[in-house]
Formats: sequence, structure tokens, C-alpha cells
Amino acid sequence: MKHDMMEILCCPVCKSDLELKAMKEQDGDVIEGILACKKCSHDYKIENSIPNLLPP
Amino acid sequence: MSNVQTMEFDPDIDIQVLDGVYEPAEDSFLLLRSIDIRPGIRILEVGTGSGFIALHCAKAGVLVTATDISPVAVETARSNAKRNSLQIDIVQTDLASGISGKFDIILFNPPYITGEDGDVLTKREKEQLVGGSGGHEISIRFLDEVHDLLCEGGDIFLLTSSQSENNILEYARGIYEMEHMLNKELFFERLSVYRFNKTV
Repeated sequence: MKHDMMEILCCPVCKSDLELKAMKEQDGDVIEGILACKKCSHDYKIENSIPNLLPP
Repeated sequence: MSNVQTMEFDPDIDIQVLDGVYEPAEDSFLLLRSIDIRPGIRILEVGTGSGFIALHCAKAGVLVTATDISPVAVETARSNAKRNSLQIDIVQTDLASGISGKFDIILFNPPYITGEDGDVLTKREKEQLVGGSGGHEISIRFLDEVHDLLCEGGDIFLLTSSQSENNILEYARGIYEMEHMLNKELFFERLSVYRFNKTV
């Protein structure tokens, strides 16, 4: 996923902003990482460039 | 407006569909033909499946975010985007529950078969095709969920079936203005696309 996608993503549970922790990047794309909710502390995985925002 | 472009099927877009993902069909083509876009706008497609519509929009020069709840569908959309060298932002989420931005156009070709009609389907087919016991529940939840994601003056395009659309239209009357765009008669139902705008 591109970094600018952070502007349109939110926690599916509480709708709060997410914090990106990129673990693997390639050509500006985040291939693997974590999206951490700043409010309810749920973590969401990014795998194969696709953020998985299904409730845990 | 001269810069408004109506979408047409583009046979040059190579769509391959993995097992378990909805293959573009009559309803996909009808929804595609209903959309008019302007370059540079931002589009959200909910339930993108193979990415068929999202990729047509991306090729026309708009910014596209595409969601699907199915892991196989988002992987299919991602690989179709790569195969066609087109950029779409893909998110695995339930309808638009992980989305917070604002969009000029929001699209959805939902599952709309009634639970009763879906009794003969496999579990996987039910997940793709059944829109709830009355066939309308997922579409209503969609209209409720995306209301705050739609820009002022923006458009929602939703595909409906005559077998389950009455409850959807009745629900939408309270929060949207609506316009019937296109329909297609099939032997057992009439498919329609409606455009919804926020009431002023």
C-alpha cells in the first residue's frame, strides 16, 4: 500500500486514526507492516501490500 | 460538461478471476455503464471482487480505492491491477468499515439474492451472492455506512434487483435523493442502477 493511503484508512472498530509501522517496503509501497489503532490498540496486518482492516 | 466521461467496457483490460471470486456478469456491465466520471476525482468501490469496475475507472484517470471482505477477492484485484499496469488502492475490509476519507463517487454491485433463493447455493456462492434474508440487508448497511464518506455533491451508484430493491429504496428515501439510471430485464428479475445524492 502507498503511504498516502493512511489519509483514508481508519480503525474499523472505533474509527480512530491508525499508525503505520512498515516492516518491508519496495519502491514506496509498504509490502508488509502493521496498522495500529491509536485509540483502541487493535493491530491490523499489511500483507502482500494489502491492509487487512477486518476486526480482530 | 464536456469533461464528463461515460464508462464503457474495455476489452483491453485483462481480468482473470480466481476460484471463489465473482466473475464480471450482467450486473457488473450495467453498473459500469451507469457511471460518469471526470479525471482526477476520487472513487471508492465497495465489494470490488475481481477489480473489474475499479480498473476501468483507474484506466480512465481517476483515483480508485477498492474494498472487499474476501482475501481471495483482494488478491485477485491486486494481481489484475498489476497485470494491467494500473494503480488502485486495495483494502480488505467489511464494506467500508475501515475507510475514513471523502469520495466523489461510491460504487457497489452488492450481493442481492434473497436468503430463500440462496438455499440451493453452496456456502461460497452464498457469501458472494446472498444480500441477507430479504436480499436487501447488505445494501441498506452500505447506504448507511458510506453516507459520511460521500463528498457534498457526490454520487453513489448502487445496483439493485427487482426481487429485493423495495426495502432499499424505502430506506434511502430518508437520507438520499435518488434517480433511476439504467435497467436490464432478465427472465426472472429486473436489474437497475440507482444514483443517490445526499439530501440538502
